[in-house]
Amino acid sequence: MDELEKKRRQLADPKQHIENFDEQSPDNMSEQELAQLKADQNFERQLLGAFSVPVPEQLSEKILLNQRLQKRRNIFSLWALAASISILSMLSFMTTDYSQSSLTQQALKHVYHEEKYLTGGNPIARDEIERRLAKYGVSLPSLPEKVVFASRCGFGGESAMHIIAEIDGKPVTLLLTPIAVEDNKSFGDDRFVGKMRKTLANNLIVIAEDLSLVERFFQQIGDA
Amino acid sequence: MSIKDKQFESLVRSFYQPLYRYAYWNTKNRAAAEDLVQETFTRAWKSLHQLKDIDAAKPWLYTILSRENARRFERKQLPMVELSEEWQLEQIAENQDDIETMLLRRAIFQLPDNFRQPLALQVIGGLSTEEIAEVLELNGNTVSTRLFRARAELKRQMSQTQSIRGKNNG
Repeated sequence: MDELEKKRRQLADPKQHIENFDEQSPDNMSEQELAQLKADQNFERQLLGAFSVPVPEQLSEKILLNQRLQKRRNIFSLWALAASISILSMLSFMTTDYSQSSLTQQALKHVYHEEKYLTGGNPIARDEIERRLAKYGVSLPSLPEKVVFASRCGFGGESAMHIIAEIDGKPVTLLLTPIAVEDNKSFGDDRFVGKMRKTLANNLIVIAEDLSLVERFFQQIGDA
Repeated sequence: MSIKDKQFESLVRSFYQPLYRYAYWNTKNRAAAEDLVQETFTRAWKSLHQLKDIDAAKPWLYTILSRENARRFERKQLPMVELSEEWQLEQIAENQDDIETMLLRRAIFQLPDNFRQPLALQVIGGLSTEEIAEVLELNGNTVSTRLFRARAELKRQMSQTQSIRGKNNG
């Protein structure tokens, strides 16, 4: 290590340099080295003094107080968040799950109640179906191929439209209702399966004995 | 009090003073330094689980403070009145300060940030060259060079001032 590098290291990390000197006996040091050591020690002492600006009183207490307040705020926020989630869950359960579950049950019940229309109906002309839909104030992108029943009904306590179509000789029921439905929700019992669709124009509930019939019905009315 | 609370309190009591001093020499403003230390400990509290080794606490806290200091400039700042160097130096002066200390402070004040920061970490924090390199995200040689130049510049300024004072007195 040349003198320049030694001097550079000494200036970069004088603490280490001073400690190295401290390990040596002053007797083994030249006068020049001893003078340099004292000058370095003095400069480092001055440097530490200059960097040591006064620290505000009670700063540690302020920091700890701030942290406790922050903790309380966080606990309150968590509590508030938990409460909000609970309330939302309850509302969601009350307004969606419960009502939707109730709606699907009512839809099945309605199909059973009007089961007599499921079989043996004559096909209704397309313009007649359109007239009845228009009277009710709704329309479908396209009509089912074979409709055997189309009438206004009181499903869900509202003014709804009840349509029964036939696909492969099997009945498929459509309930057009003003009651909001959960899009794509499926349901069923031992005999029927159903699916709800929500479009911009309509709330649709379709029920049949087989899910493939339901899907084909949606295809026929252009709402697949 | 939880274990986390106790650890945190221990960290605060051990490091708030050197951290405040380091913050002061970063901001050159007492109020800003206090805010910076508060923000550092707020961040430290949130990340305390990341501190696996208590021996690593010191460089860890200085790293947080350095990052928080950098963030200060990213945030939208309110217009601030630039306070004079003279006024700032008066704010940190104490009765027992001798003339050498005051002159050295002025010289430190005028050092460029990239010289003052590693020097402050070494003198105030007692960090090794490797730790300083880690905190400032520099390589070790760069840190050594900056420490060397910072001290050389301070000595040059002090020597110049002493020379002027000598002439005036003599």
